[in-house]
Amino acid sequence: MSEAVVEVSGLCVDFAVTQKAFRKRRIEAVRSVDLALHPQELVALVGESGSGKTTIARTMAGLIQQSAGQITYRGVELDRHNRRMMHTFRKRRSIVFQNPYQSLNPRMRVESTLREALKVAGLVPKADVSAEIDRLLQSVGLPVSYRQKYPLALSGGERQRVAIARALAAQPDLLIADEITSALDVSVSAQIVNLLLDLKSAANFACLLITHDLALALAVADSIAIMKSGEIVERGTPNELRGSQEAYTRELLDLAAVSTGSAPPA
Amino acid sequence: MSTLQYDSTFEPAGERALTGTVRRYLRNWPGVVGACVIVLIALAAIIGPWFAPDPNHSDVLSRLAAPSGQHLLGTDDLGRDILARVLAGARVALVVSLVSSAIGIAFAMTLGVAAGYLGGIVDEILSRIFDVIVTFPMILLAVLIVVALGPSLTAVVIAIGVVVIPRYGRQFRVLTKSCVQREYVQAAIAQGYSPLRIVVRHVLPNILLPIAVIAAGNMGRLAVAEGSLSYLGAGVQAPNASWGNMISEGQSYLQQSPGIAVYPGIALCAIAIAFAFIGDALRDAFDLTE
Amino acid sequence: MSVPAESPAEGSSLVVEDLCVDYRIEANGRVQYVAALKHLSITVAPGTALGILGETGSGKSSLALAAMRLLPKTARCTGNIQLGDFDMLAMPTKRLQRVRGREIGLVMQDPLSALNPVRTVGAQIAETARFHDHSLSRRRSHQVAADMLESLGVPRERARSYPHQLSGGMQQRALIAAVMVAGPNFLIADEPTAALDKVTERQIVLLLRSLQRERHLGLLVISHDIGVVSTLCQEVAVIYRGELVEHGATSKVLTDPQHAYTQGLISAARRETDDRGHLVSFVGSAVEA
Repeated sequence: MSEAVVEVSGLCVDFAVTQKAFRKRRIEAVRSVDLALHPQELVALVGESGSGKTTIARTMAGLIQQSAGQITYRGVELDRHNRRMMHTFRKRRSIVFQNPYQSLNPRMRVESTLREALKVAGLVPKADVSAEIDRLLQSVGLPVSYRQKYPLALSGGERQRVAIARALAAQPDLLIADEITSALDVSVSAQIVNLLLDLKSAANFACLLITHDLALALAVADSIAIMKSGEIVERGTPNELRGSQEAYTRELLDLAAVSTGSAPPA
Repeated sequence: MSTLQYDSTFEPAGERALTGTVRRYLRNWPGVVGACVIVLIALAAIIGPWFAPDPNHSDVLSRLAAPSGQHLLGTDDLGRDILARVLAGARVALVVSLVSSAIGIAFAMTLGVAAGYLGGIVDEILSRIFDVIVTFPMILLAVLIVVALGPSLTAVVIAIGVVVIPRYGRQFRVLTKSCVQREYVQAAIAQGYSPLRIVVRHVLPNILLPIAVIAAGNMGRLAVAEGSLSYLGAGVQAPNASWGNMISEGQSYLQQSPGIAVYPGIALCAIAIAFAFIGDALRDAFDLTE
Repeated sequence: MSVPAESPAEGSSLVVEDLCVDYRIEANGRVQYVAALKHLSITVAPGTALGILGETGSGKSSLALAAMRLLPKTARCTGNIQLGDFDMLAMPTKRLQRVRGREIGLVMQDPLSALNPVRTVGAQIAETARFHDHSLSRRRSHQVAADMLESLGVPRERARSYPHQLSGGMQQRALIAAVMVAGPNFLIADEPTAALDKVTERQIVLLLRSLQRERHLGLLVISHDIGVVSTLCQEVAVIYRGELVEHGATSKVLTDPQHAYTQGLISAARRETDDRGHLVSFVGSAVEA
């Protein structure tokens, strides 16, 4: 496997929560997490709500500041001495979120959203932007005629596709998918995940998939990290985890088996 | 690769949504009545000067006259045509409502969006300033400003504009904060879009509509504020006409010529109620559930 | 009558015959009717549980609303829905108000929107109890409420909490308590766990199952989740685009589905993969046939 494009080591994220009478309490949302992401690799971060997986996603997307630990991009440690590299990383990573009904600006047509993403990314010359918009739409399985549409006219799955197209406009090295299928029907989410699998090979990016659905992770991930209370309690390939003896992992496996109807209810 | 067919007849697309809004507004009869009233008042105020006599011209021979062919609403204690003065007052009321709204919203937008988007210490300071100004009784503050600037139409506009800034400022701040939480804005931030681009293209277009609806509803209150100021003598000064000072002058003549106070009073009520109806109808028509 | 510990052995049955539900849509200046449910007929035998499996747009929620006569004014509804001896669609409104709650209860997806945010959960449940049984004193009704909460796994002291102070699982239990305190012997659960995480979901599903078994409730479970339906229901009906496409014993339908849609749904839910490592998903046209 090639060099890791993004590495995280000792990542800690704390939140200060104001309680009564101005006292503040520190909550450790993420405790010393290590991750490595390689091109074309799909790494799944699996956990329940409150496990810290969303916090990690947002920290890696630059929306939350980490309290401790390093993020390394292309072998370069990102800190205030490396502002230029941080800026490059910012441009070359994308995030797609969970709620399809909020993932797009309702006042902008699909074309405008993509045009803006391309403009900000600055990787395609102005003359080629229109053609690139068509290419992006096709690569996410949408007809070119959708350029004119407003988000209101699109279904949940279609909106997620446009959100992915927008994420691709930056030609990212890292795509973070934060529960992108949780709000979609099972049939639609299967298609979106397949799209992601095709795209990561074609566009050569690393994909960090955040999900509470272990069955999904087992089916498509190259490597899985199971999170609980801010820590990674187990990690491995799908096959390794299927045979795991860790108590929490087994609990999640049992739940997954019942919810997919594979196991008879107890 | 296809998706299960989505039945888009359930949701109107962008353009179709607008005609639905207009239709919903037209179904709200108070809103339609209110809109007609405002349009009529505005037209009358604009066209008035061509047909009505000079509002400040004193016809001393026909003081306190009853309505006649020459003076459709009669004359006041100085022989001035009441209708002409009511129309002049309408011009004042509308100008003040519109211009002070515009001034107030312009400043409120800058400050409120900055507070909402930047958060932190900027937000703390601006919020405290807004809170302090809001606690002052609106009219009292406006009077102080007018007196400091010297009573005139301009002073009234500035005073009301300033008083209104923190109120709209808080609205802008709250709307900005909730808009920034939405995923398309978070995605833009993560992607490294500049804050200016995010505010102008992603935040403002999505918050201006609720503000516009609130502003439309509020205009009536601003007209009443202008009326209060000139009633107190801290507004448009005699001999110029404003509904407020007409009511104040007309108080002494309620027995002989009630029209001097009553007609401007009716006009002020009409404008306030009309804008209130319009505000409600707009809110329902745009179906603002957020 | 607060909830009897032993209900009569026979609950009510729910029989739906030829139910059609349309919604009135204004599009392009014309009025159209869009069909949400087409000629749906299902039966829930007394004391048994039937699952309705369907995705977004299948019309499944319209079934729950129609059975409780809670469809919006823009909906048009024909057919027959019988709860035991009660004709749900034709009954006069006054009678309906006594039947709703007391004979049939509805547990919905989002407990936060179903519970009143400005009243404590205990107060709401007590109020419901008093509404259905006028002889209850205020104090007694609060006791009944606390008993109900406790029997559903919520500690008595939490009766004084407001809905937003409770966790998602507790909120759902409180909602179920509010529904059960009226003493219905039939329950409709419309996506009861969709807003919960997997661990909590399991707890609520098991709670509903034991509730149904202990009190011999008739249960209609509407869900997109195979796990929920398979745990709770002996029989399942699959709905696609308003039509019933498959119906049978849960174990049989899940192991040997006959209709293409059901097969696709189960494969997708199981996250089955093909040899390219991709998830098996539907292709729309194959299902139209």
